[in-house]
This record gives sequence, C-alpha cells and structure tokens, in this order.
Amino acid sequence: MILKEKVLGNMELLPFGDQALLVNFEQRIQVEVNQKVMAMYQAVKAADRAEVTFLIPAYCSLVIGYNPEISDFQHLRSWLKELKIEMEGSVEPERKLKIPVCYHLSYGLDLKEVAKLTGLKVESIIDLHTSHTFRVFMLGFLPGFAYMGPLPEKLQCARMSTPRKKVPPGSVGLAGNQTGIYPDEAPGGWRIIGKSPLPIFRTQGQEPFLFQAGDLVRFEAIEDARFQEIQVQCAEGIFDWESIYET
Amino acid sequence: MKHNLQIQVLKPGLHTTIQDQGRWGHMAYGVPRSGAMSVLDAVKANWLVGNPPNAPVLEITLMGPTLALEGGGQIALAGAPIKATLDQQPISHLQTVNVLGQQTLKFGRTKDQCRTYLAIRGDWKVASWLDSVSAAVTKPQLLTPQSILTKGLLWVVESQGQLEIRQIHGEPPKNQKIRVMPGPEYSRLNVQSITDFLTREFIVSAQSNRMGYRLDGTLNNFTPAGELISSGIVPGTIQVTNRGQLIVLMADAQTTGGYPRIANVIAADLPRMAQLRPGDPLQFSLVSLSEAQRALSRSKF
Repeated sequence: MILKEKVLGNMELLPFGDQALLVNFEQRIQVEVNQKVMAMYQAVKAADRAEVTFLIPAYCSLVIGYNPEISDFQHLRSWLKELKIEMEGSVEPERKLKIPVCYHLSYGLDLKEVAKLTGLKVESIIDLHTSHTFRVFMLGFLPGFAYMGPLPEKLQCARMSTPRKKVPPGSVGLAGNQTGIYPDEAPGGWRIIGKSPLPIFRTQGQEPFLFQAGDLVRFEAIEDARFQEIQVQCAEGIFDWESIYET
Repeated sequence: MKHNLQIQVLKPGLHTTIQDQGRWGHMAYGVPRSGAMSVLDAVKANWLVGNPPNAPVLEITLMGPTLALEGGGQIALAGAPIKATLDQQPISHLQTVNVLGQQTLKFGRTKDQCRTYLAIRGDWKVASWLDSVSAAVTKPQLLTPQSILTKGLLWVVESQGQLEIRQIHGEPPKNQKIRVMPGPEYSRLNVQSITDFLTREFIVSAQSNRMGYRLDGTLNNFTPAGELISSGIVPGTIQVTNRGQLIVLMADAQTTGGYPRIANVIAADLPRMAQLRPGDPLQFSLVSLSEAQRALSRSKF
C-alpha cells in the first residue's frame, strides 16, 4: 500500500528543529489514529536507514530524528511520502498482555476518592478497570511508562490538583481518559487505584521495558497473598513471564 | 606499548558525570537521550587525545573534581575554561597533556561558561546501559553506577601508544543570540508574545539543569492554549508553560510533553546554550531551516 491520504489520513510533515521531522496525524486520542502512527513507526524502523537517528511515536504524532550530516528535511520528507507502508504485513501483530493488579485500599491510595468523584462503588471501579482491554498509545514521562486508554467514560476523573511527591513503583493510576503504571517511584498526579507486583522497568536480564506502544493490555484483579507471591517470584527470577502474554 | 591510567575520585566536584553522545535508540520507550550537553566540546576534547568522537568524557559542571591519577596516559580539556592543576602545575586548555606516575589533577571553578570536558586517551572501563555510558536519569546508581562521580570511585582507561601533542586554538565565546526555528505550536502565540520572545533579554534561572533550562519571567500577554496531546520533544525544544514561562529542554529531558513547543534551538547553537550558567542573559533570534543548515556546516569542528 502506498502512503496515501486515504491510508494515513491528514498527515502533516513539519520541520522540528534542524535534526528532526514531526509527523502530525489527526490530532485526537483515538485507536485508529494511533494505529497509523505505529504503522509508520514500524515501517521507518524496518527501513533501517542510516540517517534516521531516533524515533518518538506518541498518541497522534511521530518525531523522526535524522543526522544532518548525511540527510536533510527535504530528503526525508520525500522519502516518507513515497514510503510504502504495509499496513498489514510490516506491522508487528499487537501483543496481548494480562497484568495482575491488587486493588486493596493499602495500594489503591485514591480508590475512595475516585469512588467519590465518579459516584461508583469501589467494586464497580475494579470491575470497569478489569473488564476493558486498553491500548498502549505511547511511552513517555519515565522510561517504560505506558499511557493506556481509552478509559470508559464512567471511570474518568481529573488529575489531582496537587501531585503526590512520591508515587510508589508499580502503582496503577487514572488521569482523564488514560490509565497507566508507574515503572519507578516518581512525583505524579494520577489517581492511584491499585498496584501491580510486576517490575515494569527491569534493570537486569530480559528486555528492560515490559510495555511497548501498540500493546493491548487487560488488568486482572489479584488478592494480596498472590501479590506477595508474584513479588517474591520476580525477585527470585522464577516468575513465569510467559503467563502474562495471551494468544 | 600498553598504558593503563587509573583514576580515583578524591572530591567529586559540584556535578561531575561521565558522558558519551547518549542513548538515541531508546527514546520510543521514554528513555532520555542523555549524553554530553555540549557535544561539540566533548568531540574537541576527544580529538585532542585521539579518541573517537563518541568516546566517554568527564563532564564537569561549574566546580570541578579532584582526581588521583596513577599510571601513564594522555588527557585534554575543552569547553569552559577552568582552573586546572596537575601536581599544582597549571595545565593548558585545548591541548594534549601527558600524565605519568602518581599525580593529582585538581580543578577549580569554570570561567565564563558552565561545562568543561576532560578526555582521557584510550578505552574507558566503565559500565554502560542501553548502549551508552552516560549517567542514567532514573536509577543512575543502579544502571550506571560509575557515571556519577562520588568520593572513592575508581576506574581504569586502557590505551595503546602515545599520540603527538595536539592543540586547538580557542575562540573567545561570542555573545550572539541563540538561533531558533519556529516550533510546531509557534503560531498559537499571539503577536505580543512572539514579539516579546524575539526581543526580550531572558535570564537563565537557578532552576536549570541537564534536563532543561528554565528562563526567568513570563511571556508578555501570554494566553495558554490549554493542554495539548502529549507529543515528542527533543533537546533544544522550547516549551512554554501555562503561565507563560519558557523551558529550553536539554540532554536529559523527557521524551514527550504536553506544553506548546514554540521553537527549537538550532543544532549549531545547542553547544552555546549548554554553556550558559544560571544568571546568564540570552536572546533568541528566528532563522529558517536553510539558515540553520548553513550554520551547522559552518560550526563543524
């Protein structure tokens, strides 16, 4: 398939300084738009061109860095315009992940507040959060932090007006129509409803990041006993990582 | 002949890190690029000792470290001029310096600029993470434990043979404007804000570091455009916060953000930006992409 308006929608190619190019897709948070971003990201990555220095895919945009010593904006733009994007073929199939989360009040620091804000019972919040499949739209903010969504409307609530100074690693939060997991301890204003025992950002062995943009994620409610068990298994290196990938 | 130089930190200085040109390949996972703030000065220092441009260097910020050297080798300094002595004898800037035996390399404060780069000839035996030895922004003690200098830290640089002394003739820093290209959200600024951005003298605030430079004050008559959908940012991107404050993102910046990106500092002027200290004044001027490209080819070392 040739990169046509029809395929990629209204795509805008803009200079982003003199070492990068910004591809703006339709500016909205939508699965279809993000699929286009990811298709282009994968196609550029697969082309493995020497002048491309880095790539930052986001909700509805893609920043493509280039080495100004061997290329320039004009060249890259014409190449992108001609780039054949195999929307089916070159795009890696979306991975499906099942992420265990303990929604106990001791981990879900803002569960009661979210219940107040949304008018939902705590059980309904957990039901809603575990019954939807979310898409990883992008990674950013911290290494490995996945912005997932869209959240069902009933669960949506604004960020905290005063962010927490320290959110514990593994915390699962809500912000507007997004949900995400803190890979590390960090300041943050997302409303915390639970915690996952899985290390999201792994400092040794395996791939450092659990998530990649385009992943489909489902949360699974677990009891505290199972939470503790998984934590120990991860620390000892005996956790069955295969078990979180769904086929 | 094989030389080994062992470096031990007696005093770490204000903020001294080991940097190469950073980890470019992992920005899609939210990993900051990192690397030397002034790549140009790091490349000069490496050239003076015959190292490849991407070899590790010590990035010294404002107040330098004291290092115990043991063995033989060659070192060189580039970037901000700094008071530096080898066993109490002053050493030259921008020139290869031979070291031998047990010597103490002591740095004072930088002069006029912010960052001095120390290159050491040979192969640095320090741990890397995701293809770079640059100090990691999150969990640096775990991921790159040798790349943020602390008292007692020790590493070795192995090299083959000696190089003839090299020299670069330094130019005094030019006090010219920082050139920028309009960013994706430039057109969202009103005329007063644009005029202010391009005519005012800004001051680098004390809240400036390797992640970004916050500039003092707010843009005249700035009207916030509201939060945008998060999108990519790169070193040199200038964001404007909801209250109109400018942030120039630097090497350790996040990879995405939601503030309007009103401009990008051109590649040729990033080293000069990186050499500004808190309290320094700066002005911006707008250039086109072709001017930016010409400026970059002229700024080649």
